[in-house]
Amino acid sequence: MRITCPICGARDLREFTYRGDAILLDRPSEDAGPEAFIDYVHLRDNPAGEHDELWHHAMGCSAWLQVRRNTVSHEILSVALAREVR
Amino acid sequence: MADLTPTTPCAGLGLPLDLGDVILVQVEPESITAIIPFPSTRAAADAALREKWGLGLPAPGETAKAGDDEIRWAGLDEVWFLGPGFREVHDTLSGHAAITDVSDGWARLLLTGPASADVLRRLMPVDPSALSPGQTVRTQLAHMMASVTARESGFEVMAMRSFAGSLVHDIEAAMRSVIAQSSLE
Amino acid sequence: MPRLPERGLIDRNRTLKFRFDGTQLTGHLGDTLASALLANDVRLVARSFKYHRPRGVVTAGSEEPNALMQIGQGRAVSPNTRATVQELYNGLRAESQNRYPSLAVDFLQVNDFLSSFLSAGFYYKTFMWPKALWEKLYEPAIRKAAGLGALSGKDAEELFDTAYAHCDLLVIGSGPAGLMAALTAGRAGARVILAEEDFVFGGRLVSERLEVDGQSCAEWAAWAVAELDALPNVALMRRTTVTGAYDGGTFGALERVADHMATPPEFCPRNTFWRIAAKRTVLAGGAIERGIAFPWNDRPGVMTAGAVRSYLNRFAVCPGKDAVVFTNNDDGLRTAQDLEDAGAVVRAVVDTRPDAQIGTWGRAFPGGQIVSTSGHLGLTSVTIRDLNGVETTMPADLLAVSGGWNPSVHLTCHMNGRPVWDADISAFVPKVGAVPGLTSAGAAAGRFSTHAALADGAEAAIAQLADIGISASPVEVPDAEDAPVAITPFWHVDAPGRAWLDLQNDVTTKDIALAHQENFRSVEHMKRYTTLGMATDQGKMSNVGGLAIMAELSGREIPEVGTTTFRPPYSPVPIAAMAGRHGRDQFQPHRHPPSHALSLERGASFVEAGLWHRAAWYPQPGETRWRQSCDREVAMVRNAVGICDVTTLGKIDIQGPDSAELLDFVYANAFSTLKVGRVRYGLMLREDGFVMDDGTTARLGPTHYVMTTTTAAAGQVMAHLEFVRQCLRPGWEVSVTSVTDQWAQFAVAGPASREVLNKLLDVPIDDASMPYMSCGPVRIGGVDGRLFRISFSGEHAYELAVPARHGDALVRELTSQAEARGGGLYGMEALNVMRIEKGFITHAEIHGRTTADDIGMGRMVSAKKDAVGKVLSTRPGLHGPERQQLVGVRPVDPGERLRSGGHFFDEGADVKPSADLGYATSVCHSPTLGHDIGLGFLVNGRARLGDRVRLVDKLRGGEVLCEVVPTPFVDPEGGRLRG
Repeated sequence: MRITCPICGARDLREFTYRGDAILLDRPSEDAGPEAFIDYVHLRDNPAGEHDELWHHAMGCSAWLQVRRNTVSHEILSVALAREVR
Repeated sequence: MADLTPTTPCAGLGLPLDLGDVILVQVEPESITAIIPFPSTRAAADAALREKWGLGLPAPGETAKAGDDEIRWAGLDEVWFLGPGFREVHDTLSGHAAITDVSDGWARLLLTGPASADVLRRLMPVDPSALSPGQTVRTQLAHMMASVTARESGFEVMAMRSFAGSLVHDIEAAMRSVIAQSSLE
Repeated sequence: MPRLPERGLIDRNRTLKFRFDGTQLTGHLGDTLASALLANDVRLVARSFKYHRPRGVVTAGSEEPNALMQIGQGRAVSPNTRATVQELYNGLRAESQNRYPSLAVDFLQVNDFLSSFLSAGFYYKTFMWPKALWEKLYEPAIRKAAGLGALSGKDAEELFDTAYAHCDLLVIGSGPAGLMAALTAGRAGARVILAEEDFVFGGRLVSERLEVDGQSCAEWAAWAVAELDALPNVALMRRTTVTGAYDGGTFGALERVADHMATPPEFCPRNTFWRIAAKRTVLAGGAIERGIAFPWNDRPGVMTAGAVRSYLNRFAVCPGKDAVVFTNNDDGLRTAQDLEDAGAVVRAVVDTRPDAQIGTWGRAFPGGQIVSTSGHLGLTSVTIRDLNGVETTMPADLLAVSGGWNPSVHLTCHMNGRPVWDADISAFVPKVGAVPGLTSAGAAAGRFSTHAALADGAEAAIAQLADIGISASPVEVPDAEDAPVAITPFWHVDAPGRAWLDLQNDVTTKDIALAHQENFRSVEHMKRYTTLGMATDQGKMSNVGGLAIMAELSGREIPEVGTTTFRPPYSPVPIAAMAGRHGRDQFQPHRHPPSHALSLERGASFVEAGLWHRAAWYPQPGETRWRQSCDREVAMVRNAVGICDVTTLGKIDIQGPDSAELLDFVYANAFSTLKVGRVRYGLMLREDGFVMDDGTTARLGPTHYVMTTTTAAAGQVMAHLEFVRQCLRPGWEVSVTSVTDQWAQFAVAGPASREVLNKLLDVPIDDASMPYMSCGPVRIGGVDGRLFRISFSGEHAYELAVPARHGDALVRELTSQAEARGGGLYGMEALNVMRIEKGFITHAEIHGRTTADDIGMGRMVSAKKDAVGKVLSTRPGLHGPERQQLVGVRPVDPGERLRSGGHFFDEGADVKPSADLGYATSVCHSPTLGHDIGLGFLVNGRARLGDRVRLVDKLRGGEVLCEVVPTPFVDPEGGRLRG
């Protein structure tokens, strides 16, 4: 598998680490209460199809990336810097 | 008074290693200063660098050179200034960027010769032939976090200092493999 | 001798000696082991998997099911090697497999006489009970009788490499389609990799006697390869099998670098496993000929028709003198012509098609079938049934069979694609688009004529390159034969006797019928029940035949039956090749701290901490056990001074206007309140409220901190800080930089620590200038360093950091100063003992399931600010008496030993999971106290100080009665720390 890092270009999978659902970018505010945090930390959709994910280019530029990927075909539809998508 | 005679990262590792078509030597330590501009100060950092050294912040994958000084892209927000001392860079850019001395954090090697790209093909998932002189990548080299920069004569390879033993071992193994295969039918 | 004069691609001037089952034979450069054996008239080369029936060479390629051999000897023996792909070399030693005592006399052939009992599912049904006998008796006996070759059982000493390649266009296969694709792309300047499984480029072109562009097809192939070889943008990779197709245009490929020599040159790998990143790919892997199932079709001398042509035309070997051809398509008829031209006697041509136009080779049997064969160790005769049902038996030592050709669809199935049935050629063809970026061409796409393959390869290359913006000019397609595919499907002969589908696994048509009868009708069930299509050949020859019979039995069409799943690898790949150089002590890279050279000189034992190799203890003369060294080192630190390399702890430099905000957010406790020049212990939580890591952070300036992490979690914490900085707080002006390798850092611990430092520092320190938990810049021998007054030992201690180039010199200076005061170096074992004596935690305690409250630090979670993990750390169930809390334990009898991992139970309680009260995490012998001590987690432990609990070790046996005690064990008031 290859991911096109917006900074480095197309790179081999082994440079990246999968870090879970991109919902991690939407951290609730401190006063949102435990329920909101439980959703944020634990509750995940498991879509067969397009899914926004977080990947870390740990062995490359160290950018955190939001990757839109089809979980059925593994096709990567888009890659963006996590800090620029929110 | 204490005698703190310095040692180089690759001391005792059998360098230089000359196998004819490929040669590995250590790049002697010089000053490396990591510069990480903050979002609001990036332009100011760039301007200060240009004013003092005539070199700006390079784009991803690029290097900028003036004489012996070089600014090398090193990551998402980070560049390395190779040449001037830490204090000088710090005083020039203070307030515009995080300035960190990383001179001793890296082992630096120069791999040259016509077979150098073939050697790197056995070590890293990035295509060495696609890099023109002055281009630089951060990648994984034989399971190590690495920085690889193309030169006219070959490639400069950097990995963190504590990895120096494995870095030299793995590059040497790949060099010997490539040379051994060049004589096969 | 079967060797033919004046033809083929062998070098008759290079004679090679080899041994097969001990017998010395000769062949030529350019031979495979199989062709050399056939040239020596060796027909019996193997015994079959289950029935131990005599078997011969069937094919001339990697689909070979029979001729599996052990190559080499000693450690480097390579079992299950297909003789049809093994290049001959001087000194090659091959042994047949699965026979006892020899190929010609195999006692286990008794299985063949029991064959009516050994049908599909036999083992499942017969060895059901008694259950206890399965592991001890049945399975070992069956495995011994049915089997493939054996590994040497020793470490391989040979080298393997991994490597990466990149290209615009990957061309898989170098037959007519592959060569044209490579020429088209190569001339257009694209970066091309042409991968060929064989050691000769050309695919079928080197095995046929056809004309291309007015010359022999082999000559044309050589010309094309020469042009490609001269193009700098084309990489020719022969002996390279593309074994798998993966996401994003990535392919795995095995290059057999040195399988064609007895011993590779020094430093040369035997194989290289390539990972190829291709922007576009043309699969031109050709097609594989399939057999026809007829009674007794497994004897040595029965071969595929195409293989016969390969041996005749490429290897100059005539595999028989009296030949019969059995075919259901026109392609098989070419074999009769080639045989006759080579001087063999073609006794008969049997074509299942009643209307077949058969030439003048021997007797013609249109609409005929082979109904039986005979010959114990090799074919001696065949029995033919003609259109009218009249049977004729005639002598024959070679039977060339063609059941049609199956395109090599395998790679197109590796990403879940299913092939599509093409009725015109009676075969599956690749599903278009099944592997993104890959297109099939030539025979691999079901376009079988030479001209069609040439044209298809050129067109495929142009289309693929256009996709990535490279414009390639059409290349003139050379003249070549363009015969249509003429085939009438014919799968099996209806006549008495066993008819094999899968020669490798001894699966016959009756086994398929039995599977059907017993309702294993899904094709995947049928495969598992009969083992059809398993093992090294993965059903390359047999799969479609099995499906056809399933279809017939169930009254369905072949496409309705479907196919089993082809998975990587296409052909076997040694695991060692995937590992490359990264095995044994090179499994992962090593990290060495600056004291490494000194530790080696001092004879230290080392312990791995992540990738780091750290000194565990430094034995002195007379010390034979680690405890002696460890106890001495602890006493040395407690009474004098010790030096320990702590460079391995993660060091993260944090700068910027928002650095205090970042630290307040990632630590449970506050750091914005820390004064410049001070150090504070910090506790880091995960967002789910559990502890992630701990360490000290020093404030070097108003907007400058340096954080310390544990050695184990350095990478994880760095990634976490980047996550917070980039994902959660992208607006903050703050940087994080790893400086772990930049600074050599040494602990100087013990009552004489300051004395040692003041011998070295340019400006001495005292308690006023450097109080407990302070930090500041220092100079040592003119070098700028950093000094931290922190302690992990409980003693008056410091950590001194200098740029790493000075680390080796500094640790030597510190050690010699320490030794002058009765101190010296100490290692990880002593460090660990002292931290347990002080009740300090490591990742043995913060192992991912403990909360701040569990380790007695609940009140460190600041209520005044937001922080990662703060909200969820307040969840019910994460604190309170129901939790297992950190406590100290010591044995009631001071002579008893504690063991970590043991579980706590109340006195008198049954030892069962429901009564489990917790477990010991860290234990050691405390030389300071003279007895064992331990840390552990105990339910409601903080309320149970003074209670007695049993520490039960079910794993190693034994239990110890312990008293629950507070920590620290040593110097609870901390007087030594501050003094």
